[in-house]
Amino acid sequence: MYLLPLGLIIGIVFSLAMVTSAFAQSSASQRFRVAIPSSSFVTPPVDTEISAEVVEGNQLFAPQIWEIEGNSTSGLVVDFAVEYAFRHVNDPTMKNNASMQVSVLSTNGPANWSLVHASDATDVSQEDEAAYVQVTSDGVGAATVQLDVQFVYDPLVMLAEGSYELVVISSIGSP
Amino acid sequence: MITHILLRQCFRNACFALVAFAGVMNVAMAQSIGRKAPAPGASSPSAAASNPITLTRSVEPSFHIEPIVHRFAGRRGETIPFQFEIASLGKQMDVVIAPVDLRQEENGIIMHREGNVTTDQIRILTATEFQLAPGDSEIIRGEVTIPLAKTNFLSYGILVKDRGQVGEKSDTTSDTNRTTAAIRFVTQYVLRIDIETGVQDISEMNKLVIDAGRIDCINGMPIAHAYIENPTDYSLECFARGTIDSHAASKPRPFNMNMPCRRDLDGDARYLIRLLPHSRIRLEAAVDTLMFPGKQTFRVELTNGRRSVVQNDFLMEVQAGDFPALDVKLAFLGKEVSVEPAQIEVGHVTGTSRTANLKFTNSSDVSETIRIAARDFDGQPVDALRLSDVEFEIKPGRTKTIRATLDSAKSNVTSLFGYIDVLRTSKPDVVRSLPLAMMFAAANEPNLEVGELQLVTENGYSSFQLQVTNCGQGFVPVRASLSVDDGKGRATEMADGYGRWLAPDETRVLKFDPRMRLNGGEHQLSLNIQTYLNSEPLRKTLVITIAHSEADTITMNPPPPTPPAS
Repeated sequence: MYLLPLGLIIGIVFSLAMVTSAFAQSSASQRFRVAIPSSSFVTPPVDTEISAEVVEGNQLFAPQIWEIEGNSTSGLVVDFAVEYAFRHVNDPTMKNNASMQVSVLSTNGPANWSLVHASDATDVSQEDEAAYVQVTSDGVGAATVQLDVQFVYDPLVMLAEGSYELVVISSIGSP
Repeated sequence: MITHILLRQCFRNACFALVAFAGVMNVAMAQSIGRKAPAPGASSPSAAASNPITLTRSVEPSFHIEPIVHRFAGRRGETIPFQFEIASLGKQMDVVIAPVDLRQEENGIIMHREGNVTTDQIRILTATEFQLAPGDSEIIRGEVTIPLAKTNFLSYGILVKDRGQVGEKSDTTSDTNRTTAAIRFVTQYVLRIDIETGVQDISEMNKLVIDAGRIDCINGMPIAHAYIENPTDYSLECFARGTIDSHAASKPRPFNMNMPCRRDLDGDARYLIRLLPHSRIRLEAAVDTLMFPGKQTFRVELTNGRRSVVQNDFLMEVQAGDFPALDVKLAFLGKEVSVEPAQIEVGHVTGTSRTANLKFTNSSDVSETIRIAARDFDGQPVDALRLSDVEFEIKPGRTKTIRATLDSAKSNVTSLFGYIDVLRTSKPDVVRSLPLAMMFAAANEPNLEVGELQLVTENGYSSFQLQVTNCGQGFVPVRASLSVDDGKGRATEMADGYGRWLAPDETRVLKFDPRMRLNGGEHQLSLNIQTYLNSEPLRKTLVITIAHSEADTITMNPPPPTPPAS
């Protein structure tokens, strides 16, 4: 009959000693780790192809909007490039200069967005048909990037009638 | 037996008691620190206290790729499987996938190289051409074999190109009366597989070439630059360290260098140097070490761990005034002794401190004795400023800090200006007078006369200059910046002044040199002159036209009304 109270007393003393010991040392901890892969979301302009009639003066196409979002801590690089100037669809030897300009309209998140190469243009007379503009970020964030592409109109040059085409390649990667 | 039962009973009760006691203690502890059991869905206090990254999406994205970069660790000869997931969330995709060679731009950014692929280490095992309907996703699977290369890092690229859905082309032959232009947009993703090989013997790294090392003046501060060329067929990862050694510096302090594309990253990631095959990249670093006038050796070392693998030395000569923004912080007494700051402000008004610390550094091989004294503009000793020591010795390679404290009780004026003269007793002819401003009761009101912005043409290059005069009674800091915007997204930023004080009646010519030929056409100039940080800056805007043929002919439109200098 004395076993229960005796055991209880010993138990309390034992537990006090254990708790005191536990408090004197460090408390237990459990680490939770979640791995989030790097990913990106891209929303290019709705229209894959846009066209306009060439009139006197620079033919300005409507600005094209890209929504870019990435969670890489190294950021993202967004590069818009043309390999060739505007070329006549029936006779690629007939060319006209193109110019590009990129700007960051808005950002969201901690990343800083930089215009590495804000504007560029082809120079057909110098056989330089490549041009690129580039935007980079340095962390997690989203941005609305605007690309303006121009058909550079030169009043001193008589253009052959018909349609001219330009291919703009947007490349998204990690710097 | 009884003892055994007793012990078992004791142990059982002890366990009950321990659990009960622990439960009570938990409740007590929780109450004592005000912690509550979190409700379902509630964020934890630590999460609320931190600064979580939240991105609010306003547009439903069209494409999703995960991940952009894989980073694996593997041994030479090992084959590593990989997979990427691509999803179309908004529109039809016409996808083509192919391994691609990577290239690296001068600023360190990695992009793909058009043309034939030179590596056969990477294989794609799933379909390389497919269509993706909205809402569908596809897994790209493949494997990469690590070559037997003596390198610590490898990088392979996969190009995912969305050719899009091109509509029917109009009949160009029938529409003969119109000239039209069309733009077709192709979106592609440069995915990467980066591999750490763990190879310690990276003899390939010895082939790296470091060249064109120099210290440039950018915004008045010294910025170290160097180029690294990787002539090998392999990628490499390393770190770069710079030191500036001179006969005056007893122990040069190393600084880390970074690729421009990693300039804004935090932590050690900023200094990781990644070199792709046959790339040439630029390194840079802000130099915050002492640069005494004279001959210097700029050393660039590439390191693997703590070991220096490749290094190159670049000789140069620094002249006094080469880095004007640095001169605001540091004053040199000859070629071995320096003192910072180079201009001293003490006061009781908002924005000033009652005490200023003057840090003297002796980089010579012998002890130096320094004598200092404060005087006003009339050459009279300043009683209101207490110096903790007026004559002291600095041992070779050591520093000494002198405290300058303002005693307002000893002055009946609102502000007082003068100099602290610093003399090296070993070289009595070397005296530096450090500008001194003491604000007892009121901040100094700047009275700056600003002239017209002028164009200067020299050797075919255009620059701008501006004259400023201090018409007030005290020192005035001058920070000036000029932005030249060509209206096509290219803005050139220039600066001068850097906060260096202008003495009463002193006139200084501020110079803004774009260091390049400006494009022809219309430009907008935005001038900003700031004196004290809490003062309203003076702003001017001009529109100029530079002729296309000669980028030196300039026409200035009438300037808009100029706000009065404050």
